[in-house]
Amino acid sequence: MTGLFGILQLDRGDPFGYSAIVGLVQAWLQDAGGFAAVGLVVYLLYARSMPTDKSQSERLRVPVSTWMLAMTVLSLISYGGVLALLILNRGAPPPPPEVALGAINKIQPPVWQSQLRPLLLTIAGAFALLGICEPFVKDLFKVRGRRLFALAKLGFKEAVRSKLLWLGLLILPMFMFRNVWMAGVRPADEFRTLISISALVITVLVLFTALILSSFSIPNDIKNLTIHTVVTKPVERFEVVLGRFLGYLGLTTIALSAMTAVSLVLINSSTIDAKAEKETATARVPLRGKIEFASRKAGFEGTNVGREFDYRKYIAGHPNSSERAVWHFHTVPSSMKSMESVPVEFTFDVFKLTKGVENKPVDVTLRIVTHQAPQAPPRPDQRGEWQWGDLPNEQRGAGEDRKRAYEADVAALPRGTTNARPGTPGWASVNQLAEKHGYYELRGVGVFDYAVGRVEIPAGLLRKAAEGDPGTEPGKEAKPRPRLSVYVKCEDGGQLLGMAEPDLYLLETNQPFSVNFVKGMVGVWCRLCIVIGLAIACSTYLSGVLSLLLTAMVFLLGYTSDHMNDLAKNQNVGGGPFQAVSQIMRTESPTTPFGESSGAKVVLLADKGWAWVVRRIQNVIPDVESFTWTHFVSEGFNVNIEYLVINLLMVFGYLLPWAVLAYYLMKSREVAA
Amino acid sequence: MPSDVVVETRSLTKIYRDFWGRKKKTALNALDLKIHKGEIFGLLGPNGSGKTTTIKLLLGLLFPTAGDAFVFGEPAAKVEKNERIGYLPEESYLYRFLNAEETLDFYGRLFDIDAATRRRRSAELIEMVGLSADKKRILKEYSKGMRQRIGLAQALINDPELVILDEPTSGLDPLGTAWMKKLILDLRAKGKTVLMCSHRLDDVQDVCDRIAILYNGDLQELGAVSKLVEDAARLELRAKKVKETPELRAELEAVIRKHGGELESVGHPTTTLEELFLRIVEESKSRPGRRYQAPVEAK
Repeated sequence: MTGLFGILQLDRGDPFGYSAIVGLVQAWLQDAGGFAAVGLVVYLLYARSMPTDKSQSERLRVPVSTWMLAMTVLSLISYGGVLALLILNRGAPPPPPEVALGAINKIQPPVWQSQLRPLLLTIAGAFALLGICEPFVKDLFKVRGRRLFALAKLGFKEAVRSKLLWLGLLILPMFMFRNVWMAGVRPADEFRTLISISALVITVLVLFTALILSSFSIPNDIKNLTIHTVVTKPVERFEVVLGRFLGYLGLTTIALSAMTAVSLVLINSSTIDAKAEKETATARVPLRGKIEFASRKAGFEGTNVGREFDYRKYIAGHPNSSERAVWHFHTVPSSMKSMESVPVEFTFDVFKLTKGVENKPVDVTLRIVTHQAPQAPPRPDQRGEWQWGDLPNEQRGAGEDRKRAYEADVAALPRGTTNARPGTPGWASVNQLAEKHGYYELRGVGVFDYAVGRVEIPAGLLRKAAEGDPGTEPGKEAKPRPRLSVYVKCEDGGQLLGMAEPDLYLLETNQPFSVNFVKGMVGVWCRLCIVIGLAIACSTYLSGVLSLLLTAMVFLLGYTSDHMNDLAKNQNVGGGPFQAVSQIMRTESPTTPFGESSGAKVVLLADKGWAWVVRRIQNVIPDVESFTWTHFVSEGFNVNIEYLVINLLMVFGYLLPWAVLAYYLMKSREVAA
Repeated sequence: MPSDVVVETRSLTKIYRDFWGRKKKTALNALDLKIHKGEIFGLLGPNGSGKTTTIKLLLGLLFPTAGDAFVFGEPAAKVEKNERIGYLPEESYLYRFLNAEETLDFYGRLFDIDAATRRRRSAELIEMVGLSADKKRILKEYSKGMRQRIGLAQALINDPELVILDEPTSGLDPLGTAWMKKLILDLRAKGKTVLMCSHRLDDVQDVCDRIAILYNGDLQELGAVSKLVEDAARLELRAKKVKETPELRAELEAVIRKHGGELESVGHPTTTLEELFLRIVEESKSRPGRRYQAPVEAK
């Protein structure tokens, strides 16, 4: 997310949860505060440029209070402190992790930074915001519900009577001609395609309507002079802005709800491939872990098979291979502990080095262990099998003792019990064994290329995992040990198994698809808020056409967040624009080393400056992808309420500075000029 | 400021500038005036003289370049003062997709008036402006005169103490004009202050107590209408039931000369075309289908 929360979150990154709030607020204070400081200085210079004997009306129109001046001074002092620290190279935040040129720039959720420089920057931003928001907040207290309702209702009626909402009926042809555009879709993809297209059509229709309505509302009021009869009433100028926003938001929310309801009815009544529906018409609540690649070789990070744009890493398949993909889970939801078995779902990519046998799955072994049964890579003299390791502070060989105890318990069980499945008589024994030793292994799991696989593991493992404190890794105090780990091994020689973090998860529960579809629409609603807010803020100063174009441009730029992020971090292949121009003029390839000459240094410095400018631009561009949940819904994954709450916070954080800007623009505008 | 001063301007100046801040036109130049409670004040002047600019400055639609404006003792930029003002713009700038009832309800809400009062006042005002039969029609379907009437109704929805009317008779037929002028006089009778601007001199003369004449943004004349239009150098006599004869003229001439004066003319006075029109309409209403008969005395 950019927006004025200032941080980019790529679609490949995890959506932000509650834990990111503190960091988000800090980033917001820094970014929005920076703009506020600039605005405050410009405002004060403008106010000071007016004659000292200015009229009482002008003093009311451009108020400068002691509070505002004090906040400006405090803010500037704090920024001065930041500058001093920058020059002295003190109190800097930890540098962001290095990302290779052209690699996926995955953004981590922002965290609270307690170093002096970011702290001072936060304080400076907070002072600037407190200063610039003072008249805005004071006037907010003058807002009256009745007036606001009247203005909102006016916008509502205007839109209804302009018949623009009939555009919403365009949702129907999509379903009427379903057979035409679904003709080339595989049966397995039918359901997810239907959902994706529905969401896309709803999004386009509702956002387009909102954009048109809100871009032209205030400019039309000014053009038709109807605003004369409004602002000559006891109406605060900002009430006009807020009233219009709420009116159009209310109207488009109703339109969105209606389209969502119609789509849901039509989707649920559509004839869809049964398998596709079973896989997708649900809302899985997954428990996700962190992936790690490991082998007996230290520093193994998975194999890159050379597929461009493939973010998966691969492990080599062979019975003696020590390469593993390991998912670590640091929490265990209490709901899972009471289950009999816990489903594990996975989708892996198979990269074949040999042709293999048609329709034969790749043989995979899953080993699931708790923190009480840590695993250790095999020594060079051992074959590929991972060993039972020792716990921290345990005597050497304790792991081997546990292994022997486990094997003894297995041997005591009736033959074939370890292969029992949920619902069979032996499953209780498997559960007990898993809970006692914190260890369970599933052999012969068949994996097809990109197909969803599912196995059941005993819930006793999770009960065991929830016990005690896992502590931290030996020698790495800051790194906590996981409660549960899933080791994936590929047994077939000549095959490589490709995996990434989202490819395996424990399934906590399934929720209804319809609810998930509606939750997905909350993301559309957030984008609706952004479009309406942005368009109305622009229209307080610009004409209708310019507001429409500017809003569309800013909003659509939000879809290029990945590219913007690369530009902002100056990590494009071929460098920034100055380097690119330089290389074009010298007819060099973008991959040619740029050199160390003083000229090259100047060009690189210019690119750094450009990256700074792009970072500032980034702060006013919403990261629209952060509000896109269609892929969650269409792939059958639950949209967590936590994500939606953060979405709403982000929308509020993004729109608040625009609202303050609209307040000042509207207040300073001579509507009759 | 004395308590009976409702509007005051002090060296109020408005200069229009272009985007680069270059001066385009001085619309109003150092205007000083005071309007007192209960009077009908007219701003008079040709197009572009600064009448509407003055009103817009008083309402906060424009910001002064210099000087200041006060309404009810408050600076013009203060929004709260609008609670006591009713404003009818030159053209009735209303939302054309609303009907009369919805229009008054909307503006009533802007004054934060409760629902019951809104309903009562809306009904009264619609009745007053004669739009009861058309209250459900959207304003888009209204004639210019009807829009002006509903415009006036919205200006009165808050029962204002100061009514500002910008060209109130614009677009009205003679009947409507007469109705509007009567209404303005009624407002004064109720103790309201009225500020109106017009370039129709007869309207202003008929209703205004005091006027200010503006030309090119400068105040040219300010005072009571009766005083300003009075021709102190002449004396007018009117008589009825007497015929104009050479004897009468000679006798009158002799009397006037005896008192040191000079007879200029003797003849029948003329009425205004507006009065004649109104009389014809009234006559037609009472005797439908009959041609108008002028009063015998007038012949």
